[in-house]
Amino acid sequence: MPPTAAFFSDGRSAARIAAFVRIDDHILIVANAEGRTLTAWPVATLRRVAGPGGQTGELILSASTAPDARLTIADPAFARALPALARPSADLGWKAMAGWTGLTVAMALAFYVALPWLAAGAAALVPASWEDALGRQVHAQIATVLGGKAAGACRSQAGHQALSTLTDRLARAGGIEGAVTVDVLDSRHANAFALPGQRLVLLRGLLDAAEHPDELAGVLAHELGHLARRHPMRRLMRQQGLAIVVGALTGQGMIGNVGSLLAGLSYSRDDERSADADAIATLAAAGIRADRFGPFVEKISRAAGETPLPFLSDHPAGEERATLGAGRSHERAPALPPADWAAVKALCDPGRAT
Amino acid sequence: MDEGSTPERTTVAITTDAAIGPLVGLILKNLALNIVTGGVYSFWAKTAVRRFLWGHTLIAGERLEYTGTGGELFKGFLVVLVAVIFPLVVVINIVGPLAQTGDPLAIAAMAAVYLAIFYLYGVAIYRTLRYRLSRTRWRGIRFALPGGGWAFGALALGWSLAVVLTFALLHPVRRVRLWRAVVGKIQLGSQPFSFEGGAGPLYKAFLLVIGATAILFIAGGAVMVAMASNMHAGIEESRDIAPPFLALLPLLTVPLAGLYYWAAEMQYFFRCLGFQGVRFELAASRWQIVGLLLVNALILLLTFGIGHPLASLRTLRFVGAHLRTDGGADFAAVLQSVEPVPAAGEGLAEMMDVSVGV
Repeated sequence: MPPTAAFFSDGRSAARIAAFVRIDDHILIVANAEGRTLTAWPVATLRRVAGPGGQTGELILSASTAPDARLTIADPAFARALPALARPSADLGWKAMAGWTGLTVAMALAFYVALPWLAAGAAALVPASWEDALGRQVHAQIATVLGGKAAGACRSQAGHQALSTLTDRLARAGGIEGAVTVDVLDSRHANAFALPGQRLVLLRGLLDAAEHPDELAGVLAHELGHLARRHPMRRLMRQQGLAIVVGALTGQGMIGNVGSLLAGLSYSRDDERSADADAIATLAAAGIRADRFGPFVEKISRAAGETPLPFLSDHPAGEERATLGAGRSHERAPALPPADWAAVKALCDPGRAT
Repeated sequence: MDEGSTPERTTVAITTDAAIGPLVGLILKNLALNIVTGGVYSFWAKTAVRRFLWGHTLIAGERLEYTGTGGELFKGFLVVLVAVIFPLVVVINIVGPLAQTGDPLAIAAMAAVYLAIFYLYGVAIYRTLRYRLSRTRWRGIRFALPGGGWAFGALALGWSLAVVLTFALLHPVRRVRLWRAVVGKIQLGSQPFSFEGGAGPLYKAFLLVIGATAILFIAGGAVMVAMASNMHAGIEESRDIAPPFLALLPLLTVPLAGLYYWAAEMQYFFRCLGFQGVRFELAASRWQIVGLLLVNALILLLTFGIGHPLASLRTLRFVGAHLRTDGGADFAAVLQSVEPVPAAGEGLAEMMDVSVGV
């Protein structure tokens, strides 16, 4: 085999020496232009470093006995003489690229299309005990975030009694089976959520904003509408599906972060519209005036614009909801008698009840 | 080489023979594996990208070599998690609630913890660069950044405080001092790089940033005053009054002025750089550099950061195309580095989300 031109750096300095290499009895010999041997490396000690590899790239060699030295051979024929050092190109070929692209797209589809679809189906199959545990966990997280230091302040017995009675009445009217738990958190925001496991959470700001028991009844009926259609579980499964899987794998519990949790509680406009329609029907079935609900919701969404919380952002436009239940103003008894209503209003502030 | 002959001087040119296609393929592969492994692969992904970019960068005709491994990065991550982050979290969790009760000792302790975090930020930058340079070879010779970065952390913290206290007016001085403290210490083997020059030449470009910011504040103030007077007229009406389009212009001019300043820095920092008497010059107009940085920023924005290696490649090509050197280097005088090589790397920067190039 004729000597092949190469460049040699000995690893002691960065000088580059024009050299010739040849292989003689399994030993690679590096000589300078005058034919003086610079180094000799047994082929078995050779290591290929850096470089793009493949058929066209130059061969850059080092030896285990001289790890700092570098020998660069541009002639691809020489590389073919050292088949043990052959290395596929480090650059991905078109086939590999297409494969990785396909895998990425497939995974994106799996996470954004297949998983939500499965989530909707899975929501219906979740056992009640599991859903209840999940609801309790979400409830605890919301209580920590929104209830703040005064967690447990909203404990008035009479208020809870009255609120539960009204909720049960509406739940029966809305055709919901089983018990519905309702809790109030001491937060100034005017809002309410439906959680998995037949749970409702009201914020104190909602009670403050309501001027009539029928307004409160409307909000309860709306949230019960979400419960009846299993929106909380479906929504949570859809948005948290991946997080639940990842959380289960990494042992972080089912739900790691409250930010995405709250995002998971906002519904689509379609979900909101159907819950609104359910609310009107439920109120009528329970014998409660339905025309106070729409204006009340519009009022609190407008107030929420000043203290934005994510939950209301997806709701139908205020004007659209303002006319909900209009024309259903037949004279009826208020949703709660005055004494019960006063107890509910004072639920977070027992001092005020008496 | 013959004794007594004048040393051979080599012109230093930087070129890159990387193609976009294979890099895009690598990015997609990394993305897929990152998703599958829940992000654990990111250490190996970074390493693969660096191997690609380094391996396709030629200095005076020969390739850079990246010898780091994903395992080293992963190890560095774990070490910092246990040795730095875990103790910090424990201290914050114990002292934090005490500080909220108003205990002056606890408040002082919390302040010390936050100061320590800021201090570690500078240390992280230094150690990240130290790791990368120790894993970079050219003609078999290692780069090095001697020292542990502890002094640099203090320097960075001090200059950050100075910048805050002077309402950012000292920003260019801080940048030059910190660059000098790092770049002036980098070595290729036995030979140091130099970084010389003050912050003076940067102030002309920085004036643009100051001006744009001032205009933003004035315009913002005007909009506030207008809104306040509308508020008096009636809350209902003020709802419908959007700030005039012109008032939004300063929001665009500040980032643009920032890019212009950044371009001026890039140009100037090359001029400050020296190696064995070789001087460097980025022979591109400032607006050409602004164009490069702007497109890079758009790539990052539109790909949510996934396209970062593409931006790095663009910068590399740009520098290769525009770098002019004056004088040649005597590479026979560059001997192998004797600096100790760190065993694991970048954990601190990983935790603090420090971003230092690729």
